Amino acid sequence: MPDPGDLTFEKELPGARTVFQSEDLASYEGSPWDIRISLGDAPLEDAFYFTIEDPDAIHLPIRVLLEQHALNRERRAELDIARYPDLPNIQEELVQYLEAQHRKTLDLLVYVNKNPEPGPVDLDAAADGFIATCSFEDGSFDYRVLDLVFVICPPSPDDMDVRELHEKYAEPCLLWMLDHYSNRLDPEGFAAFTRREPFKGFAGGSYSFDDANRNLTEQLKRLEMDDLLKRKDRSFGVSSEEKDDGEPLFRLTSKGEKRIAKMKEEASALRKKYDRFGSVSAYPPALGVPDGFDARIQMMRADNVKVNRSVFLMTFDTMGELAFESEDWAERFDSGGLYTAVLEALVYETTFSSDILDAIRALGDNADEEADL
Amino acid sequence: MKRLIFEDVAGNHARYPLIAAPSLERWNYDAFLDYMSRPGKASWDEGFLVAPEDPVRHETFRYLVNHPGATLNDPVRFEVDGRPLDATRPFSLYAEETHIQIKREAHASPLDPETDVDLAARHQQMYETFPERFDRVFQALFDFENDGPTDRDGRRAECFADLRERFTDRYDVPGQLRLLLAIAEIIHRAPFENGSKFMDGVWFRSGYEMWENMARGFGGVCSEKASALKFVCDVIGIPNTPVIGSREKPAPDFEDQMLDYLRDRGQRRIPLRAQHLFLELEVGGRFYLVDPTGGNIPLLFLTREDAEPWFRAGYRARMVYQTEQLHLRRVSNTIGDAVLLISEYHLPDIHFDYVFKQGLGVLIQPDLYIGGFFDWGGERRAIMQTHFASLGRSQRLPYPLFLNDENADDDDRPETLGPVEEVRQRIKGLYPNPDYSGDITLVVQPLQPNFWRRPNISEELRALLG
Repeated sequence: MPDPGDLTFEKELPGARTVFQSEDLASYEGSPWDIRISLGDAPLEDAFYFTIEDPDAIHLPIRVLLEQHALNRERRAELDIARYPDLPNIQEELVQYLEAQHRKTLDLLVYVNKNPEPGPVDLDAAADGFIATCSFEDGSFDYRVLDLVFVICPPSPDDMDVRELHEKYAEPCLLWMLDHYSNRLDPEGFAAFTRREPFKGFAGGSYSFDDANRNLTEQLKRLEMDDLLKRKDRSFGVSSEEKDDGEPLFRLTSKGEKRIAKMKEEASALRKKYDRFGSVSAYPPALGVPDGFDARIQMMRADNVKVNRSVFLMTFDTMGELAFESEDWAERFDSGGLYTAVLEALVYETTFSSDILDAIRALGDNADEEADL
Repeated sequence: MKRLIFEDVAGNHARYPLIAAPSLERWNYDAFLDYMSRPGKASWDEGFLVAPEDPVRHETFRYLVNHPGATLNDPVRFEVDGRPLDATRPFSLYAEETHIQIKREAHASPLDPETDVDLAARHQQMYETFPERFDRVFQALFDFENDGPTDRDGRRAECFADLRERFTDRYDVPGQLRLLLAIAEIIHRAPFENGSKFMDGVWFRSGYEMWENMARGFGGVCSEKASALKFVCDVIGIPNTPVIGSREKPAPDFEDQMLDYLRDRGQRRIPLRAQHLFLELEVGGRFYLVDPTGGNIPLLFLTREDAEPWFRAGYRARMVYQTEQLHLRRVSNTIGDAVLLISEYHLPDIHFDYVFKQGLGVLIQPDLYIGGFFDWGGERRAIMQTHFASLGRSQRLPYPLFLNDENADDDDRPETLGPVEEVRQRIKGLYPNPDYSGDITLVVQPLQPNFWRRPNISEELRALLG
């Protein structure tokens, strides 16, 4: 499961074609349209439908359309129970999800099916920017639809989980991040970077109870104790507000730089060996197929490679920039959310039988031999 | 102790073991029939040196022997090693185990399902045979302290026996409905599973047997769960009508076609394959559609007025991957009973059919599906693994785990899968085709929370029930 911010949906109804913002939308003006809501990756045959008779209502915000129309209990009589008798019950279930989200007892994200832009939709945006057309091949139905997908989010790791995750992965994560910024930014830029809010607890030299990034501070201190990181020299008792003299408040030590260089070499070697198994088919065995299965983790496990660490290194090697450049990276580090992509990759480990694995591996070996020739 | 193992070789190959005292060496056929005419407990009390291994299961056997027409069977006869047993040839019980084949008389009399078949009577008789036992089973599942109804005289029911006595007179309609909803919830919560069929060697459980299975923490499929609800309704006197769900729309003369099919002993092509079975109950002169199936189907408890659109539009249901659209039809009690009796007595492969052909697998629960396939290895294994992985991928599910002989001894297999491996071994052991040389692979597929969950209960009932 991708990160919620990267999630898109490509669901189709059998016998029909849904086109996001189709070019002929204008030809549907003046006609009623539907709001369709499905849960997660459930098929569209399971979906909830609500017909909006007012053609101009597509200009309303999505939130208004949900709260005052599709998921408004007082409009239950407008549900098409002649075709879908279960709609009233489903409506009530969806209302309860919304209410739980308002009470913050549940994480609910709303996406638009077929929206090429990843991530949840802004519910205050007008619906007309997200309308699709749904046309049945037999000509029976052809209508506009706001095709929403409700995703109930997995719970965040609890405190104990986060502690364990930091024990294992904080060092490579932070080293990678610091290396990324020290390479990307000029010296002045890096110095300014170290003065940013998330680092105040660490760079200031005190463990403050109002430090919003306590996990980050603690892990940076561990790197310092391992001589991978060094804070700027300062005398005892200096205030947490350092004078901005253009120097970074901390930097990687040579040991830290060697450590990160070694991790990058390791990641590169892993990717060279295993990326070829990133999209395979089992029958017939083939590498590099579109939309295939990711057999990398299973291959690594079969080779007795330390899977969790390897997946971590490879993930940050490929998408580290995306993780670190997001504005809330520090918050996600602190909560353990930065590790989510890694953890979820492990869930999708294949379990091919040994004969399939051998066949796929042989293809990889053949590819090596051909490259050598 | 010696064992006599009766196997219904002319039916579904169900086995009914009896244990006999070591001193018993011969058993006259007439004495055997006399024994079979009495409920299991009574016959022990009367000095027979034979007892059933499972007294409840024994009643299924007795019903077949004593009321074959009621089970849609011809009268039974018995053989040992191809030699018929009768008044002139008693059972020889010198061996530790004696195997006796149950066969049929050849079309001794015509079948008349409308007269002969009556599950309600059987359920009442079953309860009367084991009243205390059923009370204990029911007590293990039903919270009388919080959900026990109060009768019109203010007395709260404390056990099932309290409910049985003039139930519809003593309890007002809201009280009856509260009880029936609580019972439907119990059945709904029980696992949707077929694993216990293989573990226990019982391919299809009767309504009473379902209660015992649920009390042990197991469950069944839709028709078994419907039968469990029917059992209680029949015993306390709640009229009920079966409702079938099918992918094909039943023909207008479906009932007549089914009766002809039954009279013909299943020689004709079955007019319709039903994919789903549940009940409509009559309470206080009104009717309520109840589906306690569970798995990933929300509990249904609707007034007839709310249920009618379902009969017109069809019933959307998704257990795992795909959404089915089923036509619903109320059928006569004869037809509903016949569907259950055919499943119980006539289909030797029904458990394999549920798991493999219908794709219901070993278990379906909100966060997990355990399916299976016949695994010939090599390319065919790869095809099936790809098939299941692709089904899961259509919903972005984690890659499934495939359990088979190849990884049965893997040290890193989670311990929690131990019972699943036991079931797999039993499935392999029970598959009756001696020529099958392949393996059985079970597919462990975690599911995402993308099923509708809210119980579908009519609003007027929610208000009434609180």
